[in-house]
Amino acid sequence: MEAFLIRYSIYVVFLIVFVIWIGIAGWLWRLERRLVELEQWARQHEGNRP
Amino acid sequence: MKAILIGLGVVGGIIVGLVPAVHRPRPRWWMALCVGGMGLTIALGLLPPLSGTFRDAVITWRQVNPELYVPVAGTLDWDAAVASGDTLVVPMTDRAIPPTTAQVLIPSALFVPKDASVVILAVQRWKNDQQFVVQGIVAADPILALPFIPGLEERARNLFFHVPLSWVAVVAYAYALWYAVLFLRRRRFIDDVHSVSAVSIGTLFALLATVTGSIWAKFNWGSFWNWDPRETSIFLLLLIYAAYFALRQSIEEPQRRAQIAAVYAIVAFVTVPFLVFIMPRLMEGLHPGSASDQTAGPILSTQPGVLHPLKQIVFALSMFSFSLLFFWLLSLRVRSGILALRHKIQQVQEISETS
Amino acid sequence: METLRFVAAWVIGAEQREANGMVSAIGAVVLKEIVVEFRNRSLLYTLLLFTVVVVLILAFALMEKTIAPELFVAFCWIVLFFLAIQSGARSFAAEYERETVVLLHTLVSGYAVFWGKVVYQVGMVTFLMSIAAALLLLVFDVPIASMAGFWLTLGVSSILMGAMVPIFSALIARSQMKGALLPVLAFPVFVPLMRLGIEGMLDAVLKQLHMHTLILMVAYAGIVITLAAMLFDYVWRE
Repeated sequence: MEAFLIRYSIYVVFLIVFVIWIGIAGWLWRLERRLVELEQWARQHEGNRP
Repeated sequence: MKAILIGLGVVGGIIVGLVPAVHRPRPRWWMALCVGGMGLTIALGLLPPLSGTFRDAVITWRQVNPELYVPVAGTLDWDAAVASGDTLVVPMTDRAIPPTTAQVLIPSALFVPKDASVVILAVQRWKNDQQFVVQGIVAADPILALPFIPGLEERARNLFFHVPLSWVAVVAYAYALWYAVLFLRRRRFIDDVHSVSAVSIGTLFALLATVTGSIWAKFNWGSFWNWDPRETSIFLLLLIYAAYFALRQSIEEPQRRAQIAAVYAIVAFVTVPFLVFIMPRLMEGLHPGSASDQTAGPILSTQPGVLHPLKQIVFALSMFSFSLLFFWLLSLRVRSGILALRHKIQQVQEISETS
Repeated sequence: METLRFVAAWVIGAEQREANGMVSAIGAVVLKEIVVEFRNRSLLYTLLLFTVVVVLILAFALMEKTIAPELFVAFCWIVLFFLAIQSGARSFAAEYERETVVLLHTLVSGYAVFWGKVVYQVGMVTFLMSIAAALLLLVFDVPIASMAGFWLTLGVSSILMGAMVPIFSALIARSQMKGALLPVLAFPVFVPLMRLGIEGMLDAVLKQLHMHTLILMVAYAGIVITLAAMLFDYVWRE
């Protein structure tokens, strides 16, 4: 059991950190896209203003 | 070499971070660079096994913890293997300079690939400095390996996450200072949005640096908080920028709030170089590079061999990726701040038009 | 480049101002502060009372006559920090409440107001702190290695602490919860100075004073005060 832990514990840490990062990156990517849409929308609506 | 690599990571991170201006959308290649860079940092920082030498195993047994198993990388001489009861006694030559040969006692139940030229075995000193008991195999023919540091072991990997976080916090505060000066010069609310966004994200990074450092300290120094000079200084930094938000919160008029916050951001930043770069180096402390340390710490020391080449590369990469992550978060924050500002201005215009 | 030009413009601007007019304007502000204070002496009495109470409490708690020099230094700095903060707490807020701001705005430059306040604050803190230190020395029998070094550090510390307060008291003048905010804002910026000052005073009390500690203190406070002087107009003018 201990040998198993020595060999694999760092991979478990890696997996956890990596999954967290992918989650954060995906979230940021989505935020970025939504913000771009919002900025476009705002630009159009400002243009229509008298 | 080390200075160039790390300088490239630090300066490159800031330059690439600022290339599409902060208030513009991030291009696809930029986001890919950030996600990939950070992914690579995590992979290179956490995946390569540690590889030590017999000397490390002896030092660990004598000075750190006699029960600890140390990964030793070396070549096994199977031809000279002798069976003794349930164990095989095999001579192993480690990869130290100069290499040393010692006997390792491998339980016959443990599978060690015989065709591997380099194996990393978890060993513990036994009877004398020439004999080691093997407890397990860490890796066979590893592509990359990080050095084993007695007393730090796996915890040394924190270097790739904790240091960039606190560095990025300083970058954030410098950025906030710059835009505070610009705001006072130009009186554009957008500059205030930049400044306050940088402070809030910088504070997030400083908090994360504190958390990673404090968890690390629990396992390395024994308690979560030790009032080491650097711990004191990050505590004060957090206090300063918490005060910044308290100050903003307590002033209602937007123009005045921005102005006063800008002045405070400038005055408060004077302490940052002192707290981050001067005080922790002048005083005795637990962090590397403090007055009680022989070297200037693994990053700034000019002595050769203080930082392993692979660690230099991963550290530079992590400085680069963390900077990009900061600028991404900053960009999102600034752009949504600008949108909110525009919205508010429009509302005011509508009200003044109707009345 | 922008900033460089900004600094250069400020330096030249300061030179262009008439030196004599400047000094008399600063003097007028200081005089005004003193006159206003001596009308009711509320701040002076409060702070004197604070000093005496602190010394008395310490005397009651530590009946024995001799205390460790380290403890003595700590007492001095506790008194100094709170004196500096309390003396500046209402300095600008009171101007807004009394509506004397308009007068100051029309009659003197922001530059004069800032330096006037600094001079007044320094005088106040140094005066009160010397009383506090004398009282502490009277009540407790402290073996001090270098008396001159102790008073020198104390003087320099009080002057610098007093001079650093006005910018913060100007920052909080128009905010809600003024009293609570001042120590929060000022403390982190004071810490490097306090760190050096405590170190210097300990050296003076235990062995002898190192001049470089004082030089470092003056350098640090000098940067903060110079920045404060440069930025004061942005806080002061609407």
